Amino acid sequence: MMQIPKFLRPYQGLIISILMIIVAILGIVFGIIPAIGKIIQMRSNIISLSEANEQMKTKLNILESTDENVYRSELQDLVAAVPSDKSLTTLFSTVDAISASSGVTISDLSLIKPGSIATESAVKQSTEEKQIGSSILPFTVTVYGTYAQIHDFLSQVVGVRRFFRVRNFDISFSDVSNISVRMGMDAFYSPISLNPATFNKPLEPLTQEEEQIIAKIQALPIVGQISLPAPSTAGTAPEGSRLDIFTP
Amino acid sequence: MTPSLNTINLIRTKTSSSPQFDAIEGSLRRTGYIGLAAFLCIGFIIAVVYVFLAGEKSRLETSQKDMTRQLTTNIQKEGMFLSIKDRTRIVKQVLANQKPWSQLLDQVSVFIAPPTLTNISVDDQSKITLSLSAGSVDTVLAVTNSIIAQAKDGRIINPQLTSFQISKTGNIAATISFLAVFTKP
Repeated sequence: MMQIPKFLRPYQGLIISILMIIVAILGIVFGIIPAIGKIIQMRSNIISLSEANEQMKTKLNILESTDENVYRSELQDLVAAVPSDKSLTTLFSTVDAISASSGVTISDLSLIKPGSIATESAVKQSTEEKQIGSSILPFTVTVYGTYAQIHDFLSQVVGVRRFFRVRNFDISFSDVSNISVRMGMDAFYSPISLNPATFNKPLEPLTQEEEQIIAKIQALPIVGQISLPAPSTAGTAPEGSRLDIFTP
Repeated sequence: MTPSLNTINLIRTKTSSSPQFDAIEGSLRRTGYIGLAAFLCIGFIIAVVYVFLAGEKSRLETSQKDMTRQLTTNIQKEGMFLSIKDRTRIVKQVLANQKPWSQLLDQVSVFIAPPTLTNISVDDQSKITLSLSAGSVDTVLAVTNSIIAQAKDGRIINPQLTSFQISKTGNIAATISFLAVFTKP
């Protein structure tokens, strides 16, 4: 038993040095390298966390900078221009009010493809509809009146808050005191559809152009519409129900 | 204890070592010290960094939880905001597709009016066709010249005389088509 220490005694310093080197190597391999890996991972976690926090902070700033009633009002104005469904009531009442205001007489108003009275979410959109981002409800209207009245009708029809477009028309001047015009027109509607996944995305504040568009819409007169239905985002569905997409 | 002949220790009290062995041992000792010191220093630095980052991560997680809670309370508002954004984009597209046809009537009335103008029609591609009936070629020429002038000004695109007929009575029937350029109000 005593022979081993005696044998090792000359190598004592050497063994201690080797043990120190082994401890240092093992420490580096099993301690420092994994710790560095963990720190790198933690740092990337912190970067993504702070980016997410920045986005959330921006989102909160945007949301808290404006009152909810302002958003509600703006959305209501925009939905009045392009309703969330076909809104045949506002279509008829607006055309009727414009004709009354301009002095023309409507002899015929017919919907080309009325389809479902409500929103046809499953109907495939045309290329133009996809480009605009809205469904188109075509209709034809035949009006009678003087040249000035027809001019006024054409002017007003693109200047009201329920958006219309005159696609085609034909004016015959055979009798200038009673001109007949057949117009192919389009009304626009687009359902409010929000993917809940968009809620996790960063929020961009309204651009100057968007604010100008909203201001322009607000400046347009509402013609023939008594009261507008509140947009569906206003939480008309009972709280907590699956229909209420804003329920967490 | 006095050493005697019977108790003579023949083992050398100090083992001799070669200078090379001493050099290797010295080198290894230095390496060992440096390695250990490096390990301890790096370990300490890493521990400090780790504690700092863990604190930072915890702070960010707490902040995120707090903001998530605030956003949850604002979720309806966010929905409205996103709807406003989306609808503004649609409204912009619709506005771009609306054409103020009353401007066309104003534009046409500059150079032609009833009874010379008998018909104005616009098709789905926004091509405008004017039908005119005139008692003389000069009237048609005057209209044509006005249209050419408007085309030069960039208010009309691609004007074309699509038909031209002179009846036995000398009455001229002509149709002219073009595309109008509108100025946005």
